[in-house]
Amino acid sequence: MTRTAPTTFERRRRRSDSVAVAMIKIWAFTAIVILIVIIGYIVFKGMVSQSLQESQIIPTFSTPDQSLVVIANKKSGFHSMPYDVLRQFFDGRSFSLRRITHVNEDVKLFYETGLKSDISEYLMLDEKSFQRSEASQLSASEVLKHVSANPGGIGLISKETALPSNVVKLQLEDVVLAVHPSVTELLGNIKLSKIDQQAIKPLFNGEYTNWKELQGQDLSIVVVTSLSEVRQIPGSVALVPYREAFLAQSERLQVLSSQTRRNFTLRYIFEKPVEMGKYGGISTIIGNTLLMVFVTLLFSVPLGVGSAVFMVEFRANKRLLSIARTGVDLLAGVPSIIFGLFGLLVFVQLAGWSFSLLSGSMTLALMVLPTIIRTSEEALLSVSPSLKEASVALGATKWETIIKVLLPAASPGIVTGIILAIGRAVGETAALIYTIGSGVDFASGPLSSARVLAMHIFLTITEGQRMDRAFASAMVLVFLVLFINILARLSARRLIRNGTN
Amino acid sequence: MIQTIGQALGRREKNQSIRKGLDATAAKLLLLTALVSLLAVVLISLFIMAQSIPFFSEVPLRQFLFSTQWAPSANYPTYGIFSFIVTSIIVTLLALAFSTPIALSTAIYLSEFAQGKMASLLRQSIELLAGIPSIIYGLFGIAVVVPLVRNTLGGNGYSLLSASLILAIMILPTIINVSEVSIRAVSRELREASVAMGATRWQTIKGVVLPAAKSGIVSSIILGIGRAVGETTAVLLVGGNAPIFPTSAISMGRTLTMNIITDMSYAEGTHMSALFATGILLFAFILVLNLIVVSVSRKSRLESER
Repeated sequence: MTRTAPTTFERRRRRSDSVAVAMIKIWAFTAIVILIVIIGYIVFKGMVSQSLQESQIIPTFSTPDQSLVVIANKKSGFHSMPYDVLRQFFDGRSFSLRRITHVNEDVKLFYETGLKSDISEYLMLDEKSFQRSEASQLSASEVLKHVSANPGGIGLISKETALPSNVVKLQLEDVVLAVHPSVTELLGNIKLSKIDQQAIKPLFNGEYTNWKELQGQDLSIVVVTSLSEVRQIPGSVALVPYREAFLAQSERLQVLSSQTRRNFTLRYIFEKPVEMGKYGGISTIIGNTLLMVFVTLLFSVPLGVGSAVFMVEFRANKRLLSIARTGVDLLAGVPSIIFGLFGLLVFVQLAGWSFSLLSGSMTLALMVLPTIIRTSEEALLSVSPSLKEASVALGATKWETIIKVLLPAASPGIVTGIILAIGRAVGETAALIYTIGSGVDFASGPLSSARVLAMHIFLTITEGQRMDRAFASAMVLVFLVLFINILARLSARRLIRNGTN
Repeated sequence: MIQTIGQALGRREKNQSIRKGLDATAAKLLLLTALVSLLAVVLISLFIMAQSIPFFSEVPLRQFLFSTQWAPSANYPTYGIFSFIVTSIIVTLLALAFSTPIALSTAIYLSEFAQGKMASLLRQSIELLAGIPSIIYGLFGIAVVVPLVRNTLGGNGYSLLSASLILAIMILPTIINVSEVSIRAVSRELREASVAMGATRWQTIKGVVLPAAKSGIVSSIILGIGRAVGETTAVLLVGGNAPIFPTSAISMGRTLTMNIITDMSYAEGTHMSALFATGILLFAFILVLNLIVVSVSRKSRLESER
């Protein structure tokens, strides 16, 4: 038998088939791609925070001959100390590390005996400021001892000595970009006021010749070395110490630097929130979340499992069964905002529980009820009837059969349902905005307001201040959800194994 | 001796009656718990309806539904939610347009082609996608989708388009799961008959499997609509939340859910009951959608039993 070559029609048919199937496969895997992108992005932004900073002081630049050595406790998270920050500390205007680093400690200043006049001259401060900052004057070895004992300790000594292991020397950043006034002049809608940190090195290496290349005026760049030259030559620029530039009131360029810091730290989980979560960690918020889940389950599990038992055990009553099932189906479809409205009306206002853990948890309990009922019903239905019959044959009443035989046999499936319900409760916001309140402290009782993790993320975003914090919390939430998901899968697997045995 | 036996028997009888009593009480208790869900639905509708009744005595229904003027804090307050209805519809339709091709392809792939590790990986990803909270989608939307829309299409990025893109991702699992079940339920004979007639895989899917699974696919899409219309937090964060009539896909807009959640924090009196009226509209819409799904699935169950 000879095979005839496929006709054009046949070929076209086959080609369209393979194209269609390939399209289906490609589309199908976009779901995985989307998931990876979302989770990857949240985790990345949760781990690392990038922030743009604008300051006069150039990061990582310091004048070579410094008479002062700045040391700090390793725990403070400092690697370098900008001049203006140090000045703020000694001026008594800034007293907490959390404005500058992720560490939530009060600043404690120490300086070596005899350095007082040097410091006040260098930082351009008078004696009064020193009193305000409560800096203590000690001998050099005492300064070292105190800095190593205080997590927020910062010390000034005259010369570098051997430092204790938990004390680091800080680089004192005190250099600014002084320019001739013609550079920053507003002319024809163009004004140069800031410069990217990346552009500074090339600028002094002579890679730029005209300010135009840096979005400034059409003016040639002159690189000089001293302040006096800067004042005379149009278009000139020099690196000078902050103090000199400040005293001479010379024109300075702002420096734009992007800072990459670690965002999520273990400390973030275990520390209490400060100033509504702007600083500090989220320990109490995680605690509230767990508490809320517990209270939610306290109400929804007995109701849900009871409902499922009824729907399985009393199947004979067809009409009642269909009514109950319709109720479950309808409840499952109700959007969470409607639950929120109901919670506001009934629990917050009518019951008088105000914005509290109890109001929020009751609202959630209603919301997760269908999830628990459906999975429990399935689990109960899959229990083999012979078990039940054996129990009844031994003289057990229906109630005893349910408690001692049916529920234990169906427990893996019920547990899966409960875990799914937890997953839903943990991430809910819309139903909680007007029911659970927003206090960041650990809930002291069922009627106290309790901020939970998802709500914390929502509030942080809407307050619009610390997006990096929102991402760190979001990462915690994503991992929580992942964990719950894996737990649910493990318990489902146990269910299948039991079933096959 | 006889006395003790008698006592024991008496105890047993007493015990027995307690057991019987317990049994009867338990049955009643279970009946009560079974009706809790239904009771909840009824209570929710009653309470919200009761709150919105005073509103309808003040503002005619026609004005409420078909006016685009929403100015509850003005000197002469107006309560028209037509723009919000239209925004909700547009956002939902756009989300469906983005989501349905991907979701149906995935469902077809899972039920017709998928085998082994890849299939289980895909299935787990979809499960996870369904488990991610809406606040996370909202955050992702603000950080990624909004700037993307702003940079490619202009506007400020907070738009109907951004909202519908996020919604499209959120309703994927719903559509995939329900339609996969119904595609899987199509009987083997139908498929084999089609292949025996010489149809290719694609022709079988297009001409036989999808039409046979139609009712399930329709219910999956209706459930998707329900989820999209009811979603609040994620769209609130990326939708712009401006109470205006949307003019294009990149203009800002406010959906029904956003309207409820935004104004709830400060509303009083008629304004408050206007929000509950908005809630009733949303609730009624979703109940109707769900009733359709329930009846469709019941009908198909009856058909398959026959």
